[in-house]
Amino acid sequence: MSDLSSLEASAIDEIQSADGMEELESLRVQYLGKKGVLTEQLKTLGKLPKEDRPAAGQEINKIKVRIQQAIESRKAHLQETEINQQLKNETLDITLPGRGQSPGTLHPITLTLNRIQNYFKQFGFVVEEGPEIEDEFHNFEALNIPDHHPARAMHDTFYFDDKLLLRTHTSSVQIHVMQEQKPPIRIIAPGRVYRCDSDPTHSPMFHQVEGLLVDEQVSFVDLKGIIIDFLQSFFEDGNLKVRFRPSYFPFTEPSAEIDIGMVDKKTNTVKWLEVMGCGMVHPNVFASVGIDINKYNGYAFGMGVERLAMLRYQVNDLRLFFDNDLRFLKQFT
Amino acid sequence: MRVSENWLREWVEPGVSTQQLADTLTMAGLEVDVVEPAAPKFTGVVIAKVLEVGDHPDAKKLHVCQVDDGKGEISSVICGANNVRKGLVVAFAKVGAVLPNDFKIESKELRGIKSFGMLCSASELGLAESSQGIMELPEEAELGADVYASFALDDQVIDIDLTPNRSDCLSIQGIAREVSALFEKPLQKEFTVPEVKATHKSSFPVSVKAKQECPRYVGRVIEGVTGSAQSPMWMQEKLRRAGIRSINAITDITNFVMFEMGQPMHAFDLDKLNGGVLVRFSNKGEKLELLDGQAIELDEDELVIADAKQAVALAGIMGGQATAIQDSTTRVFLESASFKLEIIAGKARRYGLHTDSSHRFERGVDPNIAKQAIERATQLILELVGGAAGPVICEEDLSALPKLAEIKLEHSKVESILGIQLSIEEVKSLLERLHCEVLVENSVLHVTPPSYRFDLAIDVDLVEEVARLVGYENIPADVKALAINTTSNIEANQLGLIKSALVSRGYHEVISFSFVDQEIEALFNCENSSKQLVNPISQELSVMRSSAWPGLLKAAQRNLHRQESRIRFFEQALQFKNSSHGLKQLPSLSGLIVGDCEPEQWSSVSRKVDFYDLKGDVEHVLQVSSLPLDQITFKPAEDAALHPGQSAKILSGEAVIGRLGKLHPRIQSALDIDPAVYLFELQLNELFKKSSVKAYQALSKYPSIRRDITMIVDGNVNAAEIRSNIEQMNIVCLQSVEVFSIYKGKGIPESKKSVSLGLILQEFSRTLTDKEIEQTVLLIISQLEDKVGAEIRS
Repeated sequence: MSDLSSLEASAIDEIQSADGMEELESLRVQYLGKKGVLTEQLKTLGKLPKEDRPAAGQEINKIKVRIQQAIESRKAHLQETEINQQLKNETLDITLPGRGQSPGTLHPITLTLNRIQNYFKQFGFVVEEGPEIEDEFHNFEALNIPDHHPARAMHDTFYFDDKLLLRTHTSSVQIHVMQEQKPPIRIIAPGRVYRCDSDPTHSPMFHQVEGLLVDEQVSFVDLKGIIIDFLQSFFEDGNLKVRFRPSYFPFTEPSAEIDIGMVDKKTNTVKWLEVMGCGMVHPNVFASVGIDINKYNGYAFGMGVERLAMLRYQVNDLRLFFDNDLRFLKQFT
Repeated sequence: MRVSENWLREWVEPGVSTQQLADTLTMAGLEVDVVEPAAPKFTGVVIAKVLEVGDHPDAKKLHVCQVDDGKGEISSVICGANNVRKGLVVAFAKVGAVLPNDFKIESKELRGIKSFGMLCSASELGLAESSQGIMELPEEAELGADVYASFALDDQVIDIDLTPNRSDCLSIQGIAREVSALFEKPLQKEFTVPEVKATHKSSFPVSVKAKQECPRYVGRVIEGVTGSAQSPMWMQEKLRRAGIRSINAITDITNFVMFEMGQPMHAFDLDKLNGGVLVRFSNKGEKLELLDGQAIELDEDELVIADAKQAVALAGIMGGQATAIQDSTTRVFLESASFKLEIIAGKARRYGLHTDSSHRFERGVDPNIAKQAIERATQLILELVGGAAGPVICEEDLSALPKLAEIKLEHSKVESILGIQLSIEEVKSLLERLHCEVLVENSVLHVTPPSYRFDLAIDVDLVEEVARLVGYENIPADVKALAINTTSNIEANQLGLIKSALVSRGYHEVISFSFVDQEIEALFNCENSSKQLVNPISQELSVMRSSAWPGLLKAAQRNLHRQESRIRFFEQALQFKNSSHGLKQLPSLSGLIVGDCEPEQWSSVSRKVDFYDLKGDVEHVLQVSSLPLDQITFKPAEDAALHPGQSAKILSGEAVIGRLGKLHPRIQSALDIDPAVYLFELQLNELFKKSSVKAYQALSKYPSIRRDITMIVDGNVNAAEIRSNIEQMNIVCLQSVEVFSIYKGKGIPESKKSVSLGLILQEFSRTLTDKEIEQTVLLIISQLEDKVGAEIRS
């Protein structure tokens, strides 16, 4: 029997030092295969006395099981080593950049417009657009700006030879909408507007958003409410100071200009910046589109988008918006 | 409107600081732009007299002057000004004086002679932008007095940005009235001016032909004046602070009255007027040389002041050169008239003019002050220049004067517009503060505004006045829950999705001007006549573009010049199409790619973009749109702007919804762009036309089979042709056909190409048999052999 135990010892030794799956497999065949050493041993049992056979058989079978176990355990070990090796070989420099397109950007004016629109859409304002080449009726007359009104001179209008013009404000969209729809009306009209003026602080083309609400029982209190809430939400500052001061627009009465208070940290004083205009729709405007002034009332407001974008992104040069320099555009991700 | 604070406080004392005054004005709608000192601070400058002027022995241009400082001390001062002369009263900066910009005056030697102080020019004292020579002070000025104090320079100029409706505030009186109402403080002065009695009978014939346009014309002859007389320092200073340059005493006085009372006036040299004054319309082609030297040719509808011979002034805008006050003038004809606002409005601009007078008449001048103004001007002329006044001449048509109309204001209107409650008495009292006459009858206020308030015409105008006096800041704000409005704006949302799709494919959004250079536009626009601006900013921005491509290309150019190697841009803009069918303004989405296909990568070889990169992007956009994709086709199309062999129009059914392709090499070289550029353009109206909700299709449980066919066809047979020929067969089990390889070159005859198709076959309710598959493939092969001349390879 000493044969058997030395056999087991050398088998286990060989198994534990097997270097690869193939070597392990050949050891399995060598010891446990049909013609393997232990199978051969079982065959020799017949030569033993009958009473010794069960014990010897058991002994061989136990050795078989142990060798089997040794093979399994070695196999697991080798597999583990192999996977570890594979993982090691496959390790990448994960700091290298990914493949494919890098995303582009929306223009900061679009981002600002989206912000404005998203706010007013919550309150059911519908986005409306109008033509940019306009007639005098929609841009001026219907808005209570008759021919030769001093306000026309302030608008620096671009004209075409056939009495058409480039709209000077998105307020003209009000008129289109009120001609086509019946109250209640709730719209905002974003878009390009044009003034014949070009210097570092004026662009001949810029963007405005006009807002209009027509309904029964609308007052200046409601107008103040929505504008203050809008500006505080736009600038993400619930304590933002907003001030309404009397002004003049031919198409609203009363009219107001809206300033926001910027605190100058150095002097701790409030500097007021004009950001919007607004007012209650002038009865002459309602009359020009046939809305009953005894039943309906309304408010309108307008804002310069570049102005808001400059404040939000701290852009200090208006012209950057239209230069389309990628170094600028790429910053607005 | 520049207002001297001291001058204003002569009229009304609000009892608050300058800053509080400015803030209150701003919050009442008279926006204060800036408050600035009337003059920079200086000290040690006194009124002095030049006693002697001698030549400097070593410098031709310098004079050695003996100056009496009024306190008995004579100083020797060197002065280089041409106008220095014996007897001149001057502003003398003594040794130790500190001028603006901290300029300290010390005694110093000039070419060997010591100078003790300096004779100052107006600009050296910060009283003018520039000046020629030293200041010449009036002879009667008090010698020895401190200049800063005696000029009352410790004053602020409040610059008010007036809105065009508040013409009543274009005078000190007007601002004073406003301040009086805002602070509830009484006016310190009366508006009425005592009549100046005529001391001679000299008159001048005045005839008003255009009575409707000039309802009141007041004139007066003043004899024995000195045209060359200068106005006193206090008046020059008041005018200077108002931004008006001093010319001569008579002209200064007319300007002063305009500024004080709001009535523009004009003074003619009576001896230059022939026969009489006529207010009439101009004759076409009539010529007039204006005070500013401009010679204009009049149209036939201008209101002019004329004499018997010719037009002598553009009514309410500017006087003429020929009849202007000159040094030699001894007899003056003063004009103080009321012109109808509508007749003056816009006329000044026609001649490129904008005067203090036209500014006021265009906005409205109180018709009731013409007489008072002429009395005030007469009083000042007699007092400051001398002379004798004739009788007041007044031609008027009371029926043509603006009527003081009563406005009915329902008490409830105040609350319905403002959302605040005020008693009817409160409303009445607020309006009375503005000098409105108010009668209350039940719930209605009958309001007659004063004649100078051209802006108060209807009830809401009064409501605004009430709100102003209450203070906008005292009206509460309320975000009342607005009822939900369910009309959602699907289009705008979809546009957002499309833009995001482009952004995720690497596009940057740009915004470029809608107007472009006509020459550039012509490269892209052959069929339409472009819409041209009459008054463009420049030639480069003079026509409306029919496509956003010129703008995108300009943006690309700009960035290529800065060595950007990869550009992907899109822009959403209107296209302006002007044709015989009229003007169309179509919303479009356009894009451009140029340069490297992907950002520079460590793992892949860089490749330039081509047509199919662009087409892939466009297809992606179309998928995001609401169009039914199975109806979209790309067809080769002639397009002047694009490469004829690499361009297509995009159709949805029959409708053209866009175009894409490679920029025509000719245009590319005209624009001096080096790498190939690819452009697309989509019509947004078409993109959002149909919202198609696709019905779900059941999934087959049976396997699908793929069969590949490779064939050789003519080089000009396109993929769409092959596909449509197969689709025409309506094979039910054919799920899809994909082109997976195109090959030209070795092994393929010239002018031919090899095309490989992958066919996916599947039956819905059973497994296809080999035989069926084989038959189907054979059918397709035979169709392709028949229709496109395919030569099958496998």
